[in-house]
Amino acid sequence: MHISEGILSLPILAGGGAFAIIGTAIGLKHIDTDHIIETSLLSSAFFVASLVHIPLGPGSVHLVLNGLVGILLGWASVPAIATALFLQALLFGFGGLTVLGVNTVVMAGPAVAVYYLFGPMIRKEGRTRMIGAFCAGMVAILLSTCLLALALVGTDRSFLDTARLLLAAQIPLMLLEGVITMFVVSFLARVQPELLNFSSRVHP
Amino acid sequence: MNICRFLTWNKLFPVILLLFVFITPAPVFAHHLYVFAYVNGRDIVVKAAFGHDRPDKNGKVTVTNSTGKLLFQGKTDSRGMLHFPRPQLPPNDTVKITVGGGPGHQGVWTMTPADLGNNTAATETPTDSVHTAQPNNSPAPPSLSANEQRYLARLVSEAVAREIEPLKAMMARQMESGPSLQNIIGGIGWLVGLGGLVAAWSSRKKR
Repeated sequence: MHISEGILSLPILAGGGAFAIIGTAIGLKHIDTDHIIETSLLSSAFFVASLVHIPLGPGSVHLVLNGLVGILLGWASVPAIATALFLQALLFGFGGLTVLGVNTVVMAGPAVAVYYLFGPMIRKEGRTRMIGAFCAGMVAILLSTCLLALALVGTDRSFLDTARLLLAAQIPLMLLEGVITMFVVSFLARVQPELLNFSSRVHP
Repeated sequence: MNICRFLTWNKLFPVILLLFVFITPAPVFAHHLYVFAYVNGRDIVVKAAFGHDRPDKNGKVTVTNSTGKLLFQGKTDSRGMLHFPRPQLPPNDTVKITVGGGPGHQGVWTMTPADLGNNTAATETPTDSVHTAQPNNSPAPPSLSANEQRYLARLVSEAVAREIEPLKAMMARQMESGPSLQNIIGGIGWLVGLGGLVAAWSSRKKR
């Protein structure tokens, strides 16, 4: 899911950087002082998730968990994901510093989107919550893949076929992330239910 | 932020950690494309992998010089490796090897003149470069003819190449070993620490 250095064109990099800065600024404003630790813990979860590698079919995927982070943090997921991506680039060489903006938009943009799309569902009880959580995990990966494909095609039209292949290859990951997000949300609903309402309290 | 809050998080933490342990069927792998290249006789060997035992198969390899001139194009095999003839370049030129690893992924390795065995006294063939590299330390006995000297130099060159081959392979493996545990724990520490710092700063502001 991380785009490497030296692939994207300058306008795409600059556009991604600008959107990432705006998103991070909005996100920082939305972080309630009482929930900074939760934000940093979810940022850590996102940071580690990329290292969890799962062999699926002929290839292999790694977790992203941006749906989970998004649905729990809302706008605060932008700075959480941006910081984790920065450390991943610095410590692991995933992505890179010049593509940090684009990678932030690719992963944090859908996180905010699923918060608005499925946030109300996970604050309900029972099956609605489970379906909402599954959809949040799945749709976040779907949107991220679309954004990634858009960044590649925006740089070079010849990436169009690769982008199509990419979309098909990510389907198993979409389902997997949906299941994991559902599992974690159902667990949080039992152990720490106020966390599911956390972002609604953050910005009323 | 009272004690109860931390207690509940204490319950949550092991579960999140366990979640990661359970869903990790294989050792953690890097998502970074590692590229490593070295000279082997008259060839350059390229190795590309995402981590241990995960070679970048059919990765598109593009070889250019320092001015961006295309020198070679090819694809890696099932072991993520590619052999291609060492290009003839001016002594101070570098070789940039770019390997693609699927959508949005690529790795780059640059070979300096020293990596290529092109020092200032470098000549056309590796055989001769070995011969000229140590002209004073191991002078050939005067009784040997020029042909015999060349033959001897070639034998030595081949023997050295054979001996250091495992070392180069070991270096290639180290290059692609992926993120270390220290880096992973360090990163988590940074994130939690930053959170703590911001929390401390904002609570001071409140007071």
